[in-house]
Amino acid sequence: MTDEKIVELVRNGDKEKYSKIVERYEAKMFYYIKRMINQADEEMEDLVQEVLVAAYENLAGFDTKKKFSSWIYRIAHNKAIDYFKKKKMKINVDLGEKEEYWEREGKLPEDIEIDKQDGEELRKAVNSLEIKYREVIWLYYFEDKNYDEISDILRIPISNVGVLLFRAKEKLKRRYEKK
Amino acid sequence: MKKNRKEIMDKIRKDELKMKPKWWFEGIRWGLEMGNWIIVLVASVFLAAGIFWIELICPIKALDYGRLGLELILSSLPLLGLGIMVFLLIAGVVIYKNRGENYKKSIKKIWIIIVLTVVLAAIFLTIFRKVFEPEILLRII
Repeated sequence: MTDEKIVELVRNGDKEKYSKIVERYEAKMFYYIKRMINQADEEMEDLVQEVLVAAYENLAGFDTKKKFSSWIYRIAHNKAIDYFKKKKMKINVDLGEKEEYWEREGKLPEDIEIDKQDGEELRKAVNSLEIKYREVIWLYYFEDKNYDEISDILRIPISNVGVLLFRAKEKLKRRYEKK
Repeated sequence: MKKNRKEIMDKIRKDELKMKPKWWFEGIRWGLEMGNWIIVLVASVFLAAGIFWIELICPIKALDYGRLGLELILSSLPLLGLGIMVFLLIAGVVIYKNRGENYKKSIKKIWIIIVLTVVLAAIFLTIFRKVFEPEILLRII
């Protein structure tokens, strides 16, 4: 069953179906937020809960003709940014050694040839990017979002998504080549 | 994470967590839509007033009088009106960008849309001023 169909059912009164949404998105949201603001797992889990609660509260405002995943990622993006501002955190944070995504998906832009053994270097290079570049790299290469979806999540024009990705790849290439 | 899932579902079951009603979102959408139109209209009224000022003072002719003409222009320049118009233009752009899927448009395109709408509305108001003026006078009286 698609996310949009589940949302339709929840909105029509089948509240139990929301557990499906929670099940599908809690891990995704956790890694997405952790990628942006690496803090203690408990704090990240609290933020994930805030995202899922906000999504439920605002479910009536979701347009079912659009993609639910983009909509919930947008909420997570906003929550992470709010947290970021509240704590006045530094932009560059390390994601930690045991980041599952890095181990599992040690891949990157097609024009940078990196194999899995280079996962550590790759992780450091991506983490050293500014948050706007890191986020777009994550969404495109690790979450498999297309330009249109990234545009919806970050609320920027599609052309800007391309520009951000291009610049992020250029920066990554330069930093990676230096090493 | 399972703790998260249980907590959220418990809150939903106990009705501690409620969905905001649909009218709330519709209200915000309509508010933004109406707000945007009102801002554009008010900005165009200020621009039309600016056009009226140019007709009244005729700055090019006033400059023929040298320094005196320049002083006349500067002293009668509707600075407050201009300031309000610029503020309304910025507010119009910000609201327009946040409406629906307008974030997909570039900021340059949004500026062009808003400024063009204001200019066209001001030209319309100027051309049909005589139609509006008696009405305004009647209201004032």
